[in-house]
Amino acid sequence: MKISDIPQIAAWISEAGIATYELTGPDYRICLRRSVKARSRRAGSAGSVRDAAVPARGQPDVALSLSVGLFLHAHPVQEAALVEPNEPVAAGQPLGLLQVGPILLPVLSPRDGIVASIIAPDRSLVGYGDPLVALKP
Amino acid sequence: MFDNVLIANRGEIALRIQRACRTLGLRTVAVYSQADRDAPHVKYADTAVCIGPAPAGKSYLDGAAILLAAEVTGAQAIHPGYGFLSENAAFADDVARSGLTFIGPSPACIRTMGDKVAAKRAMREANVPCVPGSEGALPDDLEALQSVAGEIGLPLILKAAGGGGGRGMRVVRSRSELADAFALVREEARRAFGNPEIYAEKFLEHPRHVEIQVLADAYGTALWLGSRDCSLQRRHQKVLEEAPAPGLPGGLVARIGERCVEACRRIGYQGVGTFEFLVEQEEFFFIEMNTRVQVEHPVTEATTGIDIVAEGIRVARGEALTLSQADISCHGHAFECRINAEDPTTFAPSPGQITRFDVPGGPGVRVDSHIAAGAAVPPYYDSMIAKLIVHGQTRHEAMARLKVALSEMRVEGVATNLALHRRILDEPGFIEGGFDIHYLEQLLKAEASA
Repeated sequence: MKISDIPQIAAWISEAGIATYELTGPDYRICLRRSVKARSRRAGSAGSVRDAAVPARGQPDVALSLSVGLFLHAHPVQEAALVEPNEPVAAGQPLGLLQVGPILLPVLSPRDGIVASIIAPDRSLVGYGDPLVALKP
Repeated sequence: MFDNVLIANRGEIALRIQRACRTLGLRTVAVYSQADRDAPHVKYADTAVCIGPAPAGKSYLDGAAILLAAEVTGAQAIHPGYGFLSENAAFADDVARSGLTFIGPSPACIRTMGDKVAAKRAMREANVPCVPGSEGALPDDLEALQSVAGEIGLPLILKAAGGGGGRGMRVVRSRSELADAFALVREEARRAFGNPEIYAEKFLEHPRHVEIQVLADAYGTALWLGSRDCSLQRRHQKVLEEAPAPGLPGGLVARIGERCVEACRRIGYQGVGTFEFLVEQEEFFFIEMNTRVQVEHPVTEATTGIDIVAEGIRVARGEALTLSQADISCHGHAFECRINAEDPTTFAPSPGQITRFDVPGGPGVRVDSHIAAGAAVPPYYDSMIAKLIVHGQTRHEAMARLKVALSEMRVEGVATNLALHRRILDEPGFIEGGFDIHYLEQLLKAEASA
């Protein structure tokens, strides 16, 4: 990690709509924070996602991808998947990760519920609006 | 050298670029909006990924999303097609910074040609003839403005330096109109283009729109591939194009073509491009350069036998052109009709579901389209659904083939301008050729008042 890498990281987190980025290495720790106002249009556009996979009720049954990326069931340095089918989850809990270049974006549960199935295979290429994880009540 | 191309576009041109890539043995990545899930270029791509919702601002115009898609799919080059991000120098810069190849000219060339004042300066330096006009941006001071107008002569036209597509311009026929017109154009320029610079040009009363296709590699070889006449326009939108431009002396066109390629060499232009001219009484006046492939490129492909899109990709891969100017000649004549899903009287877009799509065939007939029966025409984008390109040994033969092709083509489910094309082919002025850019609008006006 060099100081000169920071502008590139800043650009990546801006593109990916990340508000806070922390990285700890053997002899350094960097923390990049973006103001809520500057939060990217990608994150902002998430509110307008409409997809055939989303029922027109208040409680979404599917967590959708908000970006292009590789969908990971587990963190690259851990073996266990973040969630398994039939596991209870809380709103905001990570259900998987979206890898875009060197960035890992959490895919958050849209509500409290139980994981029905993990729709997108591990390490598969997913696009905007693709269904990733199905929930049941 | 790349062998995996991301196509940052949609519709017929995405399919056209994909075909060129596949004939060159290159892999393709399609990026698409949620409205284009079922498009043929998405189906045929080696990899396809949705980058956003239907509105172009959140998909095909979202450079960051396209670069993310390139990163994730391992694409090594981006072909922008036409429209969308094709002439966006900042995007071309971003592509290069990401370590990818932008299939087109350098960001510096795009920037120069996108600024009309800078573009004219570059053309004058290469002895490409320009419309007499202000040397740079016009002064704010009314007296200085009147003096510049006096030098150019009336009528003149005021244009926004950052404008295009027929917006940000106004004709001034008397000195008393100048101040008001200037204020109006400046306001429009500031609001629409974010660049308040205005320049003035002599206004030509009966010009034709003639353009020269160029192709240049990274090693100083630049070629011109003949002329096209795109005078048949409505509200500055081309409706029907032909190659070559009828009635112009070959020697004159060749002299202009040579100056265009000289300009390419001087500015270090690489890839395909088009120099657009107004032509009045056999005099050429440069108006702008399009730094990308154009909608009407197939008429030049038909008359030269050169696959322009494939050549553009080859030079972006760093290959040298194997053709020389002596290899290029114009065979016969070609027309292209832009078939739009639009109301035949109001010209408003007519999106919807296509229920029938019969394409014509026969010698010299080509249809470039992404549409089939059952396809939807979304309301979010350009309304063009097909290009009908017809070639013949003579203009007369090409016209006869076009007439038959238009009679065979059937589109149902949405309204189209097919009837307009059929009507144009019966017009004596069109049959004769060499009409000016106001011809179609005058025809429509006469019809409306009849």
